[in-house]
Amino acid sequence: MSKILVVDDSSTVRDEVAGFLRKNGLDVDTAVDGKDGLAKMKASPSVKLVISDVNMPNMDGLTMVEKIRSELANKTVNVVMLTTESSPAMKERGKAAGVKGWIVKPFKGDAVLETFRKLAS
Amino acid sequence: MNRSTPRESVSQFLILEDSVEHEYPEALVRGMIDITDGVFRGLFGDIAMSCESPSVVRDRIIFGEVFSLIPLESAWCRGYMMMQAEQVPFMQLLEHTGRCEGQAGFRELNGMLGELTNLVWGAFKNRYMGDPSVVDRAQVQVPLLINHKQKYISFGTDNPQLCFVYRLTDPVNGQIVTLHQHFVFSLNWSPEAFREAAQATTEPVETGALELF
Repeated sequence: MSKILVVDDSSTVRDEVAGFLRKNGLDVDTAVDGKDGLAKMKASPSVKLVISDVNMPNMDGLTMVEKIRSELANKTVNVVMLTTESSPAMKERGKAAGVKGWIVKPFKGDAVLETFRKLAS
Repeated sequence: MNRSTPRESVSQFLILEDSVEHEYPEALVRGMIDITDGVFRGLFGDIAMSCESPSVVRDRIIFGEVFSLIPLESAWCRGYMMMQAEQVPFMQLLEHTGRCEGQAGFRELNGMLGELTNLVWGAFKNRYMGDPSVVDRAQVQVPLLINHKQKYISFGTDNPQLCFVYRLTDPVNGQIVTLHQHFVFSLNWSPEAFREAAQATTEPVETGALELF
């Protein structure tokens, strides 16, 4: 059962992030947007860490996190946003939804790997 | 392609001459180049790259074979950004810079062009778009018309397009990969209301680092 879920509408980002994490021995699943991410979280309650973009079609990342917390009643999964957004207002919304961390793209795997390991354990 | 070139900088505005002068805030023009340069370097590493002087075009011709299109919306401007490229040189660049495993196909090209556009748009939005709550949600929209056969796109207006041309040098075969970046502010252009986000002027955004809450 996967322990990390990577959610991004960009196949380039999904491949890059998931590929890097798998190469470093982590179990990873992917989703193409917030709606898909929510469905995967519902199907896999053992996911420990969600890494998600904000701007996605069908359902954005922050709405997905809010629904994970409310509709799925999952208060424990760690969530890190990986996004182009850096506005304080957006980060505040993330914090209010229980987001644990924020990364402004592009992804730099070596800088975050150990933290991701801890958050996924 | 009929181009016009910068004439001079008057106060903080860059005047690009065409048959009619067009004023663009100089901070905006420099910022666009700075943002895009940063995105290219983030994606392709220490690649040899140049950018032509910005120009204004009035034609509606699409350069290359693939382009991305993304809306830009703020209280002071509304329009679109396009990134246009030719397929084969760009795909080879992806292979030669390690941006894809194995041979790059059109899907890898689409993915990378989309991500490149997303990164530029995101940085542009953070720096120049301002508070989204002040954007009037009851917005006018105009159909875009694309003619594939004629390589033509119309935004329903005669408004000029601010054009930047980037040339990246493929590190393996030395081929020049050209990307055209066009900004067309077709729905609203109020440069007198332009301002950079306060955050952008005081603290640079650190990319790639994890900020824990």
